[in-house]
Amino acid sequence: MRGQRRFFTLNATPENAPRPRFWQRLGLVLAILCISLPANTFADEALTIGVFPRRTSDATLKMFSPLANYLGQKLNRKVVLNSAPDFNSFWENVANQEYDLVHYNQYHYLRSHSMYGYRVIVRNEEFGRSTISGAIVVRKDSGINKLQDLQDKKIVFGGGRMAMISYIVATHLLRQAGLEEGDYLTQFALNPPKACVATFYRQASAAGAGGRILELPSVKKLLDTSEMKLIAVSKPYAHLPWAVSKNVPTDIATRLQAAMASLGDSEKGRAILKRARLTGLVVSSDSDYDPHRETVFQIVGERY
Amino acid sequence: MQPARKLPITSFLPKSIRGRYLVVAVLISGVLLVIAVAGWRYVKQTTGLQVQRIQQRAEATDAIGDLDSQIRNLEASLHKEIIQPGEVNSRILARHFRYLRAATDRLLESDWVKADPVLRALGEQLEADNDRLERKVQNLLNLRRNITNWFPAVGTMQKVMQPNYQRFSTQVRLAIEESETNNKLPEQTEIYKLLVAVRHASVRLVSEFRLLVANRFGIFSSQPNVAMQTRIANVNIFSREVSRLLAELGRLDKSNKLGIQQHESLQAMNLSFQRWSKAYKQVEEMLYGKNWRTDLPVLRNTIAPLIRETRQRISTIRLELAVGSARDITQLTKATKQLSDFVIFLAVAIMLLLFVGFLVIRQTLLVPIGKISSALKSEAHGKEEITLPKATTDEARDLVEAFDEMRNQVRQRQAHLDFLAHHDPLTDLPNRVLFRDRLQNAINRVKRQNTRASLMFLDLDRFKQINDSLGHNTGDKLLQMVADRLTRHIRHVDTVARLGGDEFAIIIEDVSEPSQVAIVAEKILSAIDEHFEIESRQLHVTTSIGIATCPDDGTEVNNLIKNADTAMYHSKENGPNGFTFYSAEMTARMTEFFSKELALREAIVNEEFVLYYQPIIDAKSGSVSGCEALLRWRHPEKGILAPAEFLDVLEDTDLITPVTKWVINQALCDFKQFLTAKRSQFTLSINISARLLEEQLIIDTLRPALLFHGIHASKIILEITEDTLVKRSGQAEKFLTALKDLGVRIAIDDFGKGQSSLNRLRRFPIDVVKIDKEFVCDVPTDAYDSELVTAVIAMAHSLKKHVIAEGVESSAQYDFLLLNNCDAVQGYLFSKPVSADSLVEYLSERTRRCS
Repeated sequence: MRGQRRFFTLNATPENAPRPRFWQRLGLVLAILCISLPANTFADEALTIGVFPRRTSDATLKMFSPLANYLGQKLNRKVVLNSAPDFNSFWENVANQEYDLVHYNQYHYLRSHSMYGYRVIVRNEEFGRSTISGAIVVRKDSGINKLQDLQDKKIVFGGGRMAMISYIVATHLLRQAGLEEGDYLTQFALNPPKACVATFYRQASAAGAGGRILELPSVKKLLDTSEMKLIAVSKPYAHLPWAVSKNVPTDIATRLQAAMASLGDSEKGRAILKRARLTGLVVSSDSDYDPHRETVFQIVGERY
Repeated sequence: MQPARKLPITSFLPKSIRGRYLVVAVLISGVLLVIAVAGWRYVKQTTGLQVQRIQQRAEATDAIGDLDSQIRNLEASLHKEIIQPGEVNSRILARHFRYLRAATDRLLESDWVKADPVLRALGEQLEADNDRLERKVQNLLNLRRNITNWFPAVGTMQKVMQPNYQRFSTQVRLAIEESETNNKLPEQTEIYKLLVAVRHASVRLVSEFRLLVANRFGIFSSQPNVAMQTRIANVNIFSREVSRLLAELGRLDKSNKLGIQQHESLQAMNLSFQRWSKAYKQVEEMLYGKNWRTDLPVLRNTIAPLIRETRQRISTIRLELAVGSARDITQLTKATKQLSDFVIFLAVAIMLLLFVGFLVIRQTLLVPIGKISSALKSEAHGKEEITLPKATTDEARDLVEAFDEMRNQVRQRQAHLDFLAHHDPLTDLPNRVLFRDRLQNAINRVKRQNTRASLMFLDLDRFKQINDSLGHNTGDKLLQMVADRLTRHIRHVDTVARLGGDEFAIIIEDVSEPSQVAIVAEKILSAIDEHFEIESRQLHVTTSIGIATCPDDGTEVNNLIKNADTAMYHSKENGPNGFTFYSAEMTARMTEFFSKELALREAIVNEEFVLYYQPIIDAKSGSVSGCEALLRWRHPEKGILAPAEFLDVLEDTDLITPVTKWVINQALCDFKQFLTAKRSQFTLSINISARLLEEQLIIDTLRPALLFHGIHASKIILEITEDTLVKRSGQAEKFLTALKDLGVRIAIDDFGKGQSSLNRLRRFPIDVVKIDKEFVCDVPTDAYDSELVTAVIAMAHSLKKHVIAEGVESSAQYDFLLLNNCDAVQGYLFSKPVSADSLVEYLSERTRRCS
């Protein structure tokens, strides 16, 4: 069982310090062996990457398989890309430390960090930006020009209540504008583009989504973005994180971080990023997600 | 090899508009057909797709509705289970889950969900959620089947508190019973009181505890926590009371005041109470805890979120359905708009096409037609410089060629018509129109150059006789030959024209002396006088020429023509084959002629003509054998005028016809009177003008008049002058034969005056010969005339003709005639011409005298 796997660190304790020279040497040899033993043990096992199932398994595998292969080469070990069929399975795997490297949304990261010790090493850079804002999108001809106009209106949010940007941050914008829950009707779409599509086809008065949702080519294919506008955009939040399990040794985490952050430096790496629909991966730390924590607390009432 | 030249696209088009029209029509038809098929397919595909989507959505919507309904039913059943647990609910819930699964399966099986991977994933999640929910609900039901699992405090209460309380109560009862047994002991009273107090306090304690439990369930209060606090305080009070009482009993026990049973009961009570109290603390903690009942956390933390999540997914699918409907409606609207736009575009395109077609037709057809039309107008106006358009199409080229051909033909015909209009078709000589034009030019030159020009009018003598007797072909050939001779005998600067019939005119310019013209006239007379050989027959004609000179005889065309014509008539009067220069007297005579004609016309209207009759006397018997009707004009101013005064005017005009008709009718009318007054052998002689020989008039007038008056034709003698027979022998023979067929008799009037011919007397059906009075007047004194009259009478008798002598004025004449066997006489000797009434009287007188 992965959960029973043990990791050893390079930290030497005073108890390990040998007294005589022979024992000193013997101790050193044993220490090296002890150090190398768990490392080799980890190295023998495959590194598992988990991705939040916001897309179909096939799509997820297609997008991230090149990255997994690349990391396998960089780490000189087998890397397995795990695509959970649904969120419950995914989250169960997260809880069970099944993933060594996991990619999910900011809210999931906060929970997994708090509950299971996951630690962010890099975050997405999409369209040249490593931050993302939440926004409220309306039709230009809706007559809605400010958030207060959404009183008693129906707002459709992309994803569910755990969608960090399109629901939590978007709801935070509404709260800042004085709209409490119940002041408007909440509806959920499968994802942010579909929320915009629903608004475009007048099935809702507004959509909660990312700040650059109208610039996405996939969205432009679905609707005439020239008829839509943003009436509120939040401050930027750090983009989707890639976090390592607490069981992953620091050096491995560091190597993963370096390998992922340097993807944009090579043609091959850029191709991998392009396949993953990214423009880059930037080094990130847990403190980058403090704004998320505050916002989650204000909206969801959960303190992480 | 020559390099291939790049041909313009128009070179591939047919040259004809018909061909181009066909090509364009086929192309446009093809394009329209393709557009129509594409439009039809587009509409069919769009509507088909929309119908399919609507069906798919309807299927999914129905499944979603079932899902939603089953979720609501499930919630309701769960609530019922919470409120009123029972086995029935389990079955109902199981049924709801069965329906829920069926609805989920229907949703997953719907084409709409199958077609969308995301929706399919969502549906599968929904299915997984349903399974999870069913498991959780089953867990809940199982939980509620076991009361200790359902309410964890109940186990403690049942297993610890209740047995300990029962033991406590039993020990209290045993201790009280011992006190009641030993009630005589003084210390037992106090013990008894204490034990009763313990029993009372424990009962109150348990009652408060039971109220605490009841309050936990909210039985007595809507605010269970507040009520529970009160009960807990009471429990504590009574618990302390029980503890205090047990402590009092313990103090008495230490002083050995309790009985044996009471001692043991107290020990047991303390132990039971401690155990109960300890268990109570645990129960109190449980009842105050969140999990005082285990079903609600399961419901709240597991089932409710699952249901909420399921509802959210259903709501999301509903949203997707609504978006799909809106998208389809938008697409349909868009398709409709596209179709509308396309129809408008098509209309505009067709309009443009029509406009372009008009431009093309204008350029290829209308413009050339317009240019050809202009060319036609120019041609019509006689302009010489005509530019024909460059033909770009077969039709235009055909049109231009047709126009060119037509123009050439029109010009030829125009030239021909012009020639025909200005020339005589028989002789090719200038006709009257061209003649007048040239005469005007000649007059203009005379005026400009101060010279002279002469106009000759020629009329062939006896041409009518030739024409009538030899036929029109001969007459025409004669005219052609005359024209040829005239042309050959004048200068080329002069003009010979044929004015019509046998009339010719010659314009001779630059005339200095009239003698020059006379020479020309002589030459012409000589040229015409030579015989003409036509169809192996020699003909001889002469001409009469009238000459008028400009400016002496006029300076205007009409005037000059009239004067030349007048001169020509005078020349004819003077005899054939001569020429006459015009003089002013001729005009005067002509004026008189016209004024006399006018007066004669008025005379006809005013019935100014009268008939006089001169009796004809049978020479042998001296009786009146007949009479001759003689025309008189009772002129309003000049009185009675003889025919010599006006007959020539009548004959030269058409007035002779009505006058002759009147004469015949009036004469027959009068003759009817004469017959009643005289015997039946009486005859009537009527003179017939030579002008009327060619007409049917005499016969047509005479026949009905004879019938009308009942007069036998044999009593009528029509007199024709010998000269008439000579000049118009052809017509005369036919005419006389017709008269003879009618039954009338014919008399030759003025016989001997002209060219008398025995052959003529023999050839024509003549009955009577009237010897002219010129021969009679000198007999018997003039020997020549006497022999001539004698010979005429003898000759006539030899031919069995009746002879009448005219102008008998003396008895000697009468005797001579009687001696030479003349049949009848007529003259002043017997009676001058008298009116009809006078003749009747004369006849009556003669009859009386004879009787």
